[in-house]
Amino acid sequence: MSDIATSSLTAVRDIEPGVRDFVALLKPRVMSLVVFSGAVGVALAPGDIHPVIAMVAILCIAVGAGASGAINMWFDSDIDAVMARTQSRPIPAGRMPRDAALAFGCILAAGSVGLMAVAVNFAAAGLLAFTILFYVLVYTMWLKRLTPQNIVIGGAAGAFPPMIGWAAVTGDIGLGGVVLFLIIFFWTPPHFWALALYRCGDYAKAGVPMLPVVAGRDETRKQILIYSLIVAPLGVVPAVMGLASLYYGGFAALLGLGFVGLAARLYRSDSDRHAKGLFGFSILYLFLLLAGLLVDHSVGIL
Amino acid sequence: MPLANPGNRAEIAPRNTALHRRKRARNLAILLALAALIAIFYLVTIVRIQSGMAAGGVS
Repeated sequence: MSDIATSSLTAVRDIEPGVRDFVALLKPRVMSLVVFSGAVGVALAPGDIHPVIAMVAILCIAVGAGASGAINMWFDSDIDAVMARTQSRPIPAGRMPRDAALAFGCILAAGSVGLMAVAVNFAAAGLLAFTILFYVLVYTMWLKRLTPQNIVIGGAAGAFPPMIGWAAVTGDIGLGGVVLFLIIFFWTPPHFWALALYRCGDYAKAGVPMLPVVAGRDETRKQILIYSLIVAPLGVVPAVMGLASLYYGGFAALLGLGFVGLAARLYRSDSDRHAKGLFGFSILYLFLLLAGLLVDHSVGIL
Repeated sequence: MPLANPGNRAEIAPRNTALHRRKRARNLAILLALAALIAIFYLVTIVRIQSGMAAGGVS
């Protein structure tokens, strides 16, 4: 064996990832939003669920999301090493062997689905398994490097958690769960395209065909506006279908106006500052919308 | 043959200590995760038994 091969093997053997590296594999920031949306699904679903079972369901959703993140980092380590935003992740930074990330992700995925099946119900477990597989196989391995529509279809994976939460309570996919799914599904493209607008160079360098890279900034800004015009009224739908009060409806309408306003500003004048503004607001929008649903539901119970 | 170069030992020791600390933290995290899993299964079993008793009308 050559010296180079021997030394590289030694280097791989010498990598001792710490607890923080394993936590980083779980994409904690993404996980927090997934947990929150899953909890909203559990809270809004009709029917009773024991608090312990509800907590286990939310934990399984969180661990399943983390597992998807770990497997995603295993598969995308080559492009993560090229992009400035992801260069410090454990694998490209050389703190974690790729195989360890894959094994960690697979164990967590199997564990979360298994626990969901045993402790909660098979419908929620099936949906969780489908979500993990969808994110890993459809988004990460297939669409992400193939089409500028990657985030539109692949983004569905991030929209499933409230539906899983709903299924954990009712044992099936209710209309309320579908509405929550649709809100996050249509929120995802403008959220990621706003990010892609000011990280366009990064994605181009890594060869990821995000919409601004393939279709240009003008088309992306137009698509962002179109999607924001869809997501804004969708945010009000829970109030229309009786899932939330009219107070929530008014609150959601105001938030939607803010979303459309920022998207329109970006459409009128192209700048990274406006794209960053919309990206930041989109996170706040979804957080406040879901928090509004939770508060409205809690007040309704009281 | 000299046993070891004290200078070399000084270079290796801190690295090994850091390595061991990292391994210990990882083992502790696995231990905590396993303990949490046991606690979850215990709690879920209790909840299932209680709800089963309530459904069957057992007081």
